[in-house]
Amino acid sequence: MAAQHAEALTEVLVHDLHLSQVEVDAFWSFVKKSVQMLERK
Amino acid sequence: VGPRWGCLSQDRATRFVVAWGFGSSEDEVAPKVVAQTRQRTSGGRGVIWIRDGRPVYRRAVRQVYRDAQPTGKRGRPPLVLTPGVGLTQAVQRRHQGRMVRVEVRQVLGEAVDGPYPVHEERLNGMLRDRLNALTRKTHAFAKTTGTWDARVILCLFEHNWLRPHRALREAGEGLPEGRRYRPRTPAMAIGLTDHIWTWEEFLTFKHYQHQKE
Repeated sequence: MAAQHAEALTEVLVHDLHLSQVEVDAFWSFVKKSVQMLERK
Repeated sequence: VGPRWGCLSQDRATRFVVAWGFGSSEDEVAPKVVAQTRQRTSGGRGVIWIRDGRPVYRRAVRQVYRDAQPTGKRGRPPLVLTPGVGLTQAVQRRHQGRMVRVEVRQVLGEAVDGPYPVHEERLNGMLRDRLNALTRKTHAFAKTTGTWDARVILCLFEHNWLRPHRALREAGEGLPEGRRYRPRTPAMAIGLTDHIWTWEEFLTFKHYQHQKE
């Protein structure tokens, strides 16, 4: 619920930004089961 | 269930997290993040992207940052790369599991100083510190994708609007309690607000009303 509110606020408030350099990266974790456990099943 | 990937784009100067996306692989979420970042940029202008060597970003930047250029002739106008767009990639070379060197590739546009996504890596570290669901080798993993996403979104919102960043503080005079610096959040640094938000303000802000105004 709070996260949906945060998403909606960001959608409304964040626009027309003056950007010059943007860094991008990814991270990961697992939900419920790790890859090894999925493969074992 | 299984692996869950998050991808973020962060403005280098202000540390503001511009866009984020979640999915089952990096290849799935990266194009969405690049497109959303352009959507939130003033005038959809070209920006310089800094990233490690994954090919998905080369494809995504080339696909998102292209505009139709009218030629005055009949038919569909050709698509050309948006002016000002750039992509610098720092590729890690490994030998027997150890990193031996880093190659910097200038894929598009001009070269940049410091071609490594260090602030973004620091942000990932911060997320792993604050969120148990991202901490490795613990039992505190998320049980559903909904809770995983919600935790990361709230943490990113707090980073942008509620938590002052030490690197963004501003020297000032006449501050209370004899302070020399005024604390600022990334949202203040990028010009979206003039004060540090509180949780109460966040929870009671009527975004639908703001949209109408």
